[in-house]
Amino acid sequence: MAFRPGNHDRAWNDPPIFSYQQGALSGDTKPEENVTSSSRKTPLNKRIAFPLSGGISKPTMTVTSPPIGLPPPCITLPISASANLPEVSNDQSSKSTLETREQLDLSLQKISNILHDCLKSYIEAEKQEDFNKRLQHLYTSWKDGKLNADIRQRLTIISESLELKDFVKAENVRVALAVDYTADCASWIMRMGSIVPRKNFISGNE
Amino acid sequence: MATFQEYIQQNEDRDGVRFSWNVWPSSRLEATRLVVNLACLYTPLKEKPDLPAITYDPVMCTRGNCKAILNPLCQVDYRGKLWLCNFCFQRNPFPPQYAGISELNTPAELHPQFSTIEYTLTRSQTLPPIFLLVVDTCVDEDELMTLKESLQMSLSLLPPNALIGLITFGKMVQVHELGCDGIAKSYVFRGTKDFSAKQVQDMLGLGKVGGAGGGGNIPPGQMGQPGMPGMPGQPGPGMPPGSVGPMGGPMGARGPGGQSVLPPSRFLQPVHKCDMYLTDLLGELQRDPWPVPQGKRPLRSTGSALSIAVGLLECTFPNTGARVMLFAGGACSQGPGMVLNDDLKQPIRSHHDIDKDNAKFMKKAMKHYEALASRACTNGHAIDIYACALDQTGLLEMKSCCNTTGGHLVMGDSFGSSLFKQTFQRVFAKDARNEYKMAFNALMEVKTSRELKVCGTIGPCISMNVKGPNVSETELGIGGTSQWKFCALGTNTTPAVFFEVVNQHGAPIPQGGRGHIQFITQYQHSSGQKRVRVTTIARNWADAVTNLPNITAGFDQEAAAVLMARLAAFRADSDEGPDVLRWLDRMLIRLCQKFGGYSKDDPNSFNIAENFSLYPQFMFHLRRSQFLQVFNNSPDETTFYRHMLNREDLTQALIMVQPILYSYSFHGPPEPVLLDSSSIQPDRILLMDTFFQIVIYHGETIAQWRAAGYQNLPEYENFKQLLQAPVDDAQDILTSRFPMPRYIDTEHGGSQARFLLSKVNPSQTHNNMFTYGGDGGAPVLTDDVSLQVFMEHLKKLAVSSTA
Repeated sequence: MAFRPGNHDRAWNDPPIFSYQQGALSGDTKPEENVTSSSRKTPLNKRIAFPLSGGISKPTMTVTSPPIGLPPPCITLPISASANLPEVSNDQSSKSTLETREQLDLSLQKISNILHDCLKSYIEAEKQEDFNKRLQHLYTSWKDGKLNADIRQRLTIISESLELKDFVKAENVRVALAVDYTADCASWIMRMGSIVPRKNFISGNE
Repeated sequence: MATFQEYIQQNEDRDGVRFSWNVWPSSRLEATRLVVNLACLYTPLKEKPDLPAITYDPVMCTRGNCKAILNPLCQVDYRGKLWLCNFCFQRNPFPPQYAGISELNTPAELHPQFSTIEYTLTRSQTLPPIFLLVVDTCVDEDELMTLKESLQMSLSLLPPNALIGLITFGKMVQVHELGCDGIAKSYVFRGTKDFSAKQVQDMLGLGKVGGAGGGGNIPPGQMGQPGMPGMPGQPGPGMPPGSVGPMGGPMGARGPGGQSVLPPSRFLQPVHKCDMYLTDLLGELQRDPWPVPQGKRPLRSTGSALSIAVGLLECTFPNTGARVMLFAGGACSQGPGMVLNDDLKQPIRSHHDIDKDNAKFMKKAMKHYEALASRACTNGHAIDIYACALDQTGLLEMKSCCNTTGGHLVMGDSFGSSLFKQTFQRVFAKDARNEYKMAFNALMEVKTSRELKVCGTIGPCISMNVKGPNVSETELGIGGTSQWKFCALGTNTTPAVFFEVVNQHGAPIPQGGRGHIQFITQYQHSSGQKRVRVTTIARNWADAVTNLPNITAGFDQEAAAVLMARLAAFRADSDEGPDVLRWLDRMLIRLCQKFGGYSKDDPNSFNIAENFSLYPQFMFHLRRSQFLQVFNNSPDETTFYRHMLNREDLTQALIMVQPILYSYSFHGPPEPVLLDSSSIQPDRILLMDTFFQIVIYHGETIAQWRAAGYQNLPEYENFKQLLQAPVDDAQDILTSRFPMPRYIDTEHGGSQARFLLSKVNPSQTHNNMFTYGGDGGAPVLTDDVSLQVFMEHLKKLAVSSTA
């Protein structure tokens, strides 16, 4: 699914925006191998030849096609003639994702502890101050509520991966975060990427 | 037994090659009578995750003017440890390290399934790629902000050891020094002047390359010594002679592990060292401060900025992979390469202006950019152009920068558009092995059997002017050579290569009955490694006089259509439009006369083999496509479309020639339908892929149901799924295609429906809508000839005894 709609104010027929990871995944695999796609996607690769013998036969107009003005065919019995689809409930989802102030602070504390440990383990003492200054931007943005739930979620994943020393995963999530939310993360995302030197990575074309 | 279609597909999957003819006519005369040239589309760096990792040098034929590489088609004498070159028939001894080979123990390069194989040259220098950003600041605040964000984003996607530099321009051109402590420094150049590489070198305080102070800071004694492998101008061991080694660049000190340490430059630094500095520098970039008077355009010095960029790379890092990435928010309005002046009353040239010779800046500007492109190509540097503006930016004049270097040409409306942002992200796409898909500084050489010669190439490359024995006097495309340089190469980049059969008519079929072609592509991988991809293919010869059915059966109509499209677009750049159409029509009529079955002067008797049946349709759509019909497109748009046609692989290029159309309805699964107005029905949704656009069109009834909101009711879940199906199917294209296509969601009567209506065959128009049949689809308001009328004329001319 698209991440965000296109920018129709600045460009006509602008395509929707897809999350960087989704796009990267699609690019690596052929459509029929893409395991994240719905199982019934149609590969769009066939053409019909123009019949040489004569004109194009009229396409079969189905007798079941209702005339204009009648509703489309339905496959389930209507609940009632005037049934309205309930509004897509935001309440349910918002209740489950609504974090309290305390939970947010706890999450931030955990992330900053992990990043601090990484700093101490991998970065020379004289460079740590510069790192800390950049990471302060992150902490301030977090506390001021400038980072949305998706960014916070991804930061949590990054810190957990760092804690488990899964540096490749942490880097992949960090890059996706940098691409999808450039404006929100610009002041600290690059520094976060340098917190673990590349030589500690196990694999990848780093 | 596999059909020819299966054979063609297997060969494309294995080798990335599609030939117009898969059985070759054995004489020159018969080859010309086949009408469609013997040619192929070849993807040198086709993604092949199953290629074995070969880390030794390829074995070459020892004959001086051959140097073909050992391949599965060579005969091998295992006892004598000799191999017979399949191109020149030289008997070559195997090198000592092959002493252990036998029938049961053969190296990968002799296995038939490795007709395409890749060698990594571990002894060659490894150099990281270089990216030089050239940024237009004569854009409004919102544009600049979104552009800065994209550039900051790219720092996360670049290889960390790549070198990066920044030049900004408006009325003046600024070259920014990176990594300086304290105050940011930049060198300012006048935007009205052109600067040679020497001038750039002197003004930026860059020393000579190879001497002390080269690049600004090379410590003496750290340059390489003469005679070492990979020196400039000397190909490394095992490399074909006459080829300029892409690694013949500036030598730096060797770091641990044998990797070269590039001499540092104040203006080009490793990403990992300057990422934060550059993030901040980009964040602080301001709009060009020079005030713009009423009725005037901003003074934009694109030509000068590009000249300085090319010169900077020329004097610091020649002969190594690099990309100049130009971000242009408008047309160059001052200095060298200007395409218009600053007076708003004078618009940029249109096709009409060019036809009437009323484009006064065009020729001079083109010369400027052609000269820049040539200099960049000499050094293996690619130039990308990312042009985002609502009006033209001068892509026509700048086209040689991308067309000859192989750089990207991206055209968008705004840097804030998702089309630009996501397309730019995909420049740094990685493959299944997590390696960048981009490659640099590639040389492609073509070797052929004696019966074949090379006429030329149409693709994003430049001639290396290597005049070997297999170079034909006849030139098609970029000819007169058997070797071409691609400064940038992607996994989809697909040049078309044209051949000539030189056997005389009546001469016997060559010994062995098969002709051979070998493509050797040496390139710089994004990791800095030097690699060589070798593809060797063979096809049967046949006497066209006695064995025409065999040759006919091997015709690949899809490849032929794309090859003809490239030839037509190539001609259209220099010839008049009507002349190109006439040439195309003549070729099609001759092909139908040669390969159709018919009784003379009886059009109704005309028939043609199935593997030719789509070809007339392809030609019909090509004739009315934006590649040959420039009306309703600007010169910049035409340049962009032709650029993409000339570099994409067969599948994508064919979509551009004849779009794909699928229909979605309640009456069955999604199905391909004729690209015809009759396919437009009220109860159908159509998905059309033109490569440049994805159009989802809702028929009249579907549109009314959607407007009424039936998809929101639970009992009409099937309708919701129907609406969603084409969106889901389009998703794979939208998430992977480069450049990202526009996305059009429209319906019957919608203004955007014109994108569909202009592409479908207008079998029903306002002229015949009451005679054709009331329910035959939506009429298209056009006087264009329909495919039916086209085919009737074609059949009449093909069967005519007087034609």
